[in-house]
Amino acid sequence: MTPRVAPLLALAAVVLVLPRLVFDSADFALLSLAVVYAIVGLSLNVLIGYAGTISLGHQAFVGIGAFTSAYVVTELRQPFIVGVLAAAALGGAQAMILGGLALRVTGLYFALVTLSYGVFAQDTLFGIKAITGGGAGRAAPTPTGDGNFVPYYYICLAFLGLVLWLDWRMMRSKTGRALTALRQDPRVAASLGIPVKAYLLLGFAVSGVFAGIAGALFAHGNGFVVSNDFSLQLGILFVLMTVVGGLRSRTGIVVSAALTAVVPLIIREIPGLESALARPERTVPVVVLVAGLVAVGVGVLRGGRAAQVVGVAMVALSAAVLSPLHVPGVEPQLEQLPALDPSMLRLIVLPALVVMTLRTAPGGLGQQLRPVVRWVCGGRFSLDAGPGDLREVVDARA
Amino acid sequence: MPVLEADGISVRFGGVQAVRDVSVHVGEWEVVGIIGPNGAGKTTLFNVLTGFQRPNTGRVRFEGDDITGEPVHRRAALGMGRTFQNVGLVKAATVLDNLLTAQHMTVGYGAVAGIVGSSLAFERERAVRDEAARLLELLGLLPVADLVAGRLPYGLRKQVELATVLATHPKVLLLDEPTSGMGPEEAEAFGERLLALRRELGLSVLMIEHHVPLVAAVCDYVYCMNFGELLVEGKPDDVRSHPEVVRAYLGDEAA
Amino acid sequence: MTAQALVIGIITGAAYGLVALGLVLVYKSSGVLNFAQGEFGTVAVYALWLGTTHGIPYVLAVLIALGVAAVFGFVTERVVVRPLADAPRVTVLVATAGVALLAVGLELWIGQAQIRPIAPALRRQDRLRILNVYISDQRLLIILTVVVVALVLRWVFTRTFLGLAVLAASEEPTGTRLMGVRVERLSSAVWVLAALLGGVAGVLTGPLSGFGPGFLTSSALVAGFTAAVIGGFTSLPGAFLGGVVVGVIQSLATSASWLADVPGPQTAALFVLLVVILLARPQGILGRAS
Repeated sequence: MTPRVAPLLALAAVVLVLPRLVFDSADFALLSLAVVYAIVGLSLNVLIGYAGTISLGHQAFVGIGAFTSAYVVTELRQPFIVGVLAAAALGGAQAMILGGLALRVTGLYFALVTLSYGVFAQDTLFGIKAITGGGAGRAAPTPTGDGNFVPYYYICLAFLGLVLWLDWRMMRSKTGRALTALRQDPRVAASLGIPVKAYLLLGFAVSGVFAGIAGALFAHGNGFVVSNDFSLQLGILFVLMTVVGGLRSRTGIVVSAALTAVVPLIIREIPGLESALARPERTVPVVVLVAGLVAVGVGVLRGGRAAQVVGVAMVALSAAVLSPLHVPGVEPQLEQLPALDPSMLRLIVLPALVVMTLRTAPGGLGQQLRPVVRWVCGGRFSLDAGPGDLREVVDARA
Repeated sequence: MPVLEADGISVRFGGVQAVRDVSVHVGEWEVVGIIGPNGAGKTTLFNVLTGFQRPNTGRVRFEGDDITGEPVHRRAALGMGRTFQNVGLVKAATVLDNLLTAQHMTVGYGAVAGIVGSSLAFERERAVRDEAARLLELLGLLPVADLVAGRLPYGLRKQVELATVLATHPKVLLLDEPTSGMGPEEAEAFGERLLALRRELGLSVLMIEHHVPLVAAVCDYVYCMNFGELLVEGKPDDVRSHPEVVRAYLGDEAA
Repeated sequence: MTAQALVIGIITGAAYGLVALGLVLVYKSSGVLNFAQGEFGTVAVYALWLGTTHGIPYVLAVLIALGVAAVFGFVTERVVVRPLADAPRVTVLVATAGVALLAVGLELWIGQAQIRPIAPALRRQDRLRILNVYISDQRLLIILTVVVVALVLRWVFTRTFLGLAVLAASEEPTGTRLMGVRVERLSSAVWVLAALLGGVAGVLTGPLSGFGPGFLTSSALVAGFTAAVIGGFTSLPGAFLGGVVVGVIQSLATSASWLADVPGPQTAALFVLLVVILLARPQGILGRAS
């Protein structure tokens, strides 16, 4: 199959040219972050999607890359590219150490190890003053000059391209097949001659290298790194955006991660949304009204009595609040609600999407996009393009 | 010299003696069968031979070399190919991808070369694909090459599994109940194919099998296990009519 | 002072034990690692805060807060956990992590990114003094609660029909259903109970040093999980003892002079403890090998 040229050119235009036309140069800081998140998502995908091993401490992977590059550039006075390379190397090395643990501790227990590792990295590793500047943090100058984010965005894109290339080649070579085999059945993999432990470690290393690159780009895009940037919340956010994007789907993950990062821009660009968030006393009843209608609908369809009752109550209450009638006890409280910040909205919307994904479409965004991707790659356009293993979201080794 | 040889193997799980002092050997070109009632320790013995289970005592030798401590993938590299009772395939991958996976050892480039996409890797990938197509053609599986392995009917899955094991270029095949779920005719056809494969590829075979007629038809030598111990060994016809074997299968009254 | 560290450890460990009890309860009955356990408690504290700032009497506000936690647990089970009953357990874990993040988002919205003080149930600070450590009445209440809850839950699981049905359902859902037990109801009951436990943990520990968005998750979730692992993940008294072990080791790490230069000694101790235990005895100290 030869790829279709026109849609690829259109895609290139959207990624390379469109941002220059639509956004201010200040917005490119956030666009760079979107690219960084995409790399983080691809890094997590190597572990969860390919190797079948959960990581709830990926903020530590990214943070180690960030501090490494910041240290190499500011303390050792090396150029930016050396910082990124050092971040990639150290990111891979620390991931392999954690991978060594994964050989001994599996499944849910390993999930706990990664959880604890992430918190440990934030509190202890990133608190080592000589390297990270302790709580004060460390400067990480943007290579394209302070506040000059437009060229930096293109540097980040180049690294995303590199990561996508490596990921694509890996999955089309013996490494990818070995990872798939060991995820699905380590016994079968071993009896086909695949050294399972070595390849699991390799999977960790690749994931760590990607995360290290992402961390370095994050640091130099921010201009400054502090340990509080890498909280448990961020680690969970990374996992959620990857799952929503669809494990083992590069396209879905890149789109989902990028969207997660640019939520504030999206909110600004959608007319009326910003003011709606600023006036929760009107917005919340509308949301409750819609949710109530959905609950009634689901209740009627599935015959759920409780859902119908709750739904009707929600609809009635929110309708009363929205009407000119004064509802004592509720309306004054609503008036006191603070405005909704875009970053909070992200924490609310993404979990809702995850639950929807896991319940109804485990293939995530990637599965929805698959027909388009196939068509762009030169195949026939067909909505029925759902292949093999989309049911297993996070599996085997757990 | 025997290709595969196990000497005085014992395995204990907690208080249960799963295998006690069992010795088997498979000569070059030989087809050897292991029979015995359920729970006789046959699969445990298999796991010792293939490296999934460390024996408490005893040695395993392959072409004369002691491999008792070798991991599973090293044994595969030496030339031991095994099938599984519940079909060992990468179920979410296509049949073709399963055959590519099985050529892991012969693919001829390093993991890093594959990840960075070196020209050698591209070149070798093409050769690996050709080899997969050749094997699929040989076994008449070309029409299902692009289907997901886990969704094939059971009998076809078993054939694909055999194809993947052959793709590892084994010297000895270890088959764990290869005809389970097959009818008598299919089992007979399988036996003929097995003998043909031995002729063409020069394989030795060790198989756990319940179909006694098949064992009698294809095996050169048979071991019968019961309660973890070797009961009888010998030519298929001798083993089959041995009173101990009859008693193990049918109970005391029959003997 | 080692003896002093012991006392401090027991005091803080009791709070971990309370969180661990909720984690063990859910794990024992459904095999799920519940990342939202801490948020069950944090949500309750926010409800308590909203209630008391609106002039609702403290006791009533506590009851309302526990009610909010219970509803949260109920909804979590119905909307998130039950539809994923057949999914791999790591998938459910990811889903509960999502629930936790959602709760943090709502807390950030309602309460803003601030640490807030809240009045404890018992105010007296200096009634009891052991080895120069003052133990406030609130701390005593926490210790008392965790011991009572652990014993009561143990009794429920070993002596009552409900408890045995929950255990049976976790081992053999189909068989249990055939025996006439309504497995879905049991699952709801377990999650509501776990959320109530989380609520109790939140309402009791929130006043100790103030609360913010996600405070119980960041202060006690990792410690609670570690405590549960030490206890073998299925033993209820084990969870309580595990909490005490974690608390003591953390307080020893904080006071140890040779660790003075290590940043975040408490978290470092937790991580090392968890790894060492999982490598040495994956079934936990008190758990039995499966």
